[in-house]
Amino acid sequence: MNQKRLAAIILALALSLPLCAQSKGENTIVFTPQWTAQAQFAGYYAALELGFYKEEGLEVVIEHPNASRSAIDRMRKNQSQVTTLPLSQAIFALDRGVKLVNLLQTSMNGSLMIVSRRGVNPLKQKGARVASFRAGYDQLARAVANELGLEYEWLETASLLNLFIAGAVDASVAMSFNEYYQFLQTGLIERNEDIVYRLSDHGYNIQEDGLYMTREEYDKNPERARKFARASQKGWEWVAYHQEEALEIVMKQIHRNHEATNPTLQRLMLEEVLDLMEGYESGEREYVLRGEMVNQAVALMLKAGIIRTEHTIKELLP
Amino acid sequence: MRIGQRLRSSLSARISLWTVLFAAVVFIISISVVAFRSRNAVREEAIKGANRVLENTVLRTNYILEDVEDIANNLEWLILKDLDNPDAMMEYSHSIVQNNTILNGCSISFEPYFYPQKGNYFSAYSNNNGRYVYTMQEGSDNYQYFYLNWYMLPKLLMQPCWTEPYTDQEEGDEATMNLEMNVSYCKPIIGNDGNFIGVISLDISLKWLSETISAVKPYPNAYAFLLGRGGSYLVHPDPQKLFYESFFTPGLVDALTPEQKQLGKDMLDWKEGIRRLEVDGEPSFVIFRPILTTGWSLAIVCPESDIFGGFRRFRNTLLLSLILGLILMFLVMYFIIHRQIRPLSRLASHAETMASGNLDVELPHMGRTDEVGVLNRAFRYMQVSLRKYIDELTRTCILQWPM
Repeated sequence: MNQKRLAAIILALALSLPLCAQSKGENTIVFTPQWTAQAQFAGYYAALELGFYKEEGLEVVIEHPNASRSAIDRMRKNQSQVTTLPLSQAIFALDRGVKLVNLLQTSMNGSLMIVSRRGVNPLKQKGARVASFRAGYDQLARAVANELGLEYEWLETASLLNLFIAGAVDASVAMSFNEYYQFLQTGLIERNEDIVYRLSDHGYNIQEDGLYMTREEYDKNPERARKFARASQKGWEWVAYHQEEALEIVMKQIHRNHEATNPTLQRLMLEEVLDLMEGYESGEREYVLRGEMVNQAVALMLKAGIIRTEHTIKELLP
Repeated sequence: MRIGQRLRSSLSARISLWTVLFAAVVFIISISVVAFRSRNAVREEAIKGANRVLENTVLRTNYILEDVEDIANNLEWLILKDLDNPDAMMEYSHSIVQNNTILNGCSISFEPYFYPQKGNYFSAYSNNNGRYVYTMQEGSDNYQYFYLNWYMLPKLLMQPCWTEPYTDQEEGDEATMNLEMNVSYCKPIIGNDGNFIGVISLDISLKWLSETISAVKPYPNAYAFLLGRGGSYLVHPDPQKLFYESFFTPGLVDALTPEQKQLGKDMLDWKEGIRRLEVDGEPSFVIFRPILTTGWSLAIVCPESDIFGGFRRFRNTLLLSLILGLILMFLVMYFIIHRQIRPLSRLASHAETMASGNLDVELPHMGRTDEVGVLNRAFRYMQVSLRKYIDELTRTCILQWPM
């Protein structure tokens, strides 16, 4: 091969390298769900496993946070581009200057509850020591407790379950699809409405999980974000009609991430998560962020001093 | 029908059958009483044996746990002696794990900025990965140990405690990725001013604990399980249950019987006792006892098929022997009785011949002195008497009415 021809080939290759790198980065999304591997994220696992992201031309990697480091921290440090967050956490992040865009709202109802460890109504436990999520997500429980004048002592922890078991707390926040079943699984409490205060049963039904990206990341390539949201929604729709197969996909992720759980808990979680995805009035999976719920969350959190500014739904929409 | 007819026509068959039936009733009642008492004795002995094993296992478990608690107490003394020297904590953490094979890991962790020169986090952590012991400062923004159970529990309770099983994972350096399932003994470090300043945490592998406790089996299919305070399996022969499930997991979908649920509650309430119930579909005895230092509860499951296996084989052999014996008894009795009363049939036959008019038929000489012999002699006497009577009658008739 003559030298001029070789030089031209090398130059062409060198010039194409940045393009390759750029195109790979553009299509790659690192997705960090807000918690460790479990059925709460079944739709995303299904979308990955069944190739829905690939159909949209996306290369998606799912990396879970650990219990002491939140997903929002990973986004701040640009370790992930997309995460899931409950609405209250997204509002909180907004208030702290993190501009977020809601790509897809999966949850249409609230799951947050306060569960008593002492066998009494949590509303009668004024001044109680209550375990709360270190990673956040419980702003509404704090806001409502403030509203009701309960003066709880909040203990942030990465391990609600262990504090609950040891009796080191008087009560704990819980999600109806996750921690509540874990508490029941200890045998220390039974299904008893008296020991559970579920916010959504008392006029505080505020939607939770949604898919979020920073606005900066969104503005770089809105189409990529829309594709991710579309494929994710497709994943969730598939899960709704293929629950047993979805559970298998979930258990694969769980084993890969060495999580301590079992198929019974995951099945109950998936059933509850799918229920929470249905609109209260319509009974359909609406995938819509509701303005009145945003307003209610903002009002509660403002009153409790959890946030400093009044935010609107517009700040979260693309 | 044939059998019925045979029975009606055969005295020996009837006598034999009634005798055998009576004997069967007596044997069955006797054997039932003996079997019932034997079964109870077998059960009592089995329970005693399993209880002994359970006691020994609780003692062995306590030795293991007390060893760990002793190590923590000794370490606490060393820490307080050299509290001003953070580097000493690294050395202590390392040597504790190096010199105690029972330990998987050790953390000596302090409150934020306890050592200002070390920053917000200072936790001297050592781990034995099976090849060597490595030591590092594990606290960071990626690993905020202040919020983890092994740090929070002793801080909140202000007393030592054992954690529930957990995996201790962190990001970053692959050498630090620890996916071992552990339980930890955590002791608060109280400074000289009486304030909480940190935690000693000693980790032992759940797998190691499980293998140690499960080594002893009172019966081939018996097994031990150890429940944590939250019902989680700390020891169980099924690796899927170990750590991933709790005793009450089936109860989430109403798959626990009331007896099973009560057993779980009793174990969580630190009671001891014996229960007979179905475990994995098999009737079993479950003997349980608490380990009070940790709040855990140890149980041994003994399937009834193991306990009563020998007894059942013995019982079945006995029943079979009884049935065969009764059959044999019937046959032998029938043969003997039949032989003994066969002369009666001959006598009956001769009686019929005599009744037909033939008084000259020769009756057998039996030479017996029993009832049959008496009957035989009576028949012979009757024959002689009848002949005499008929002879006299004939002579009288001839005299009165000569031809």
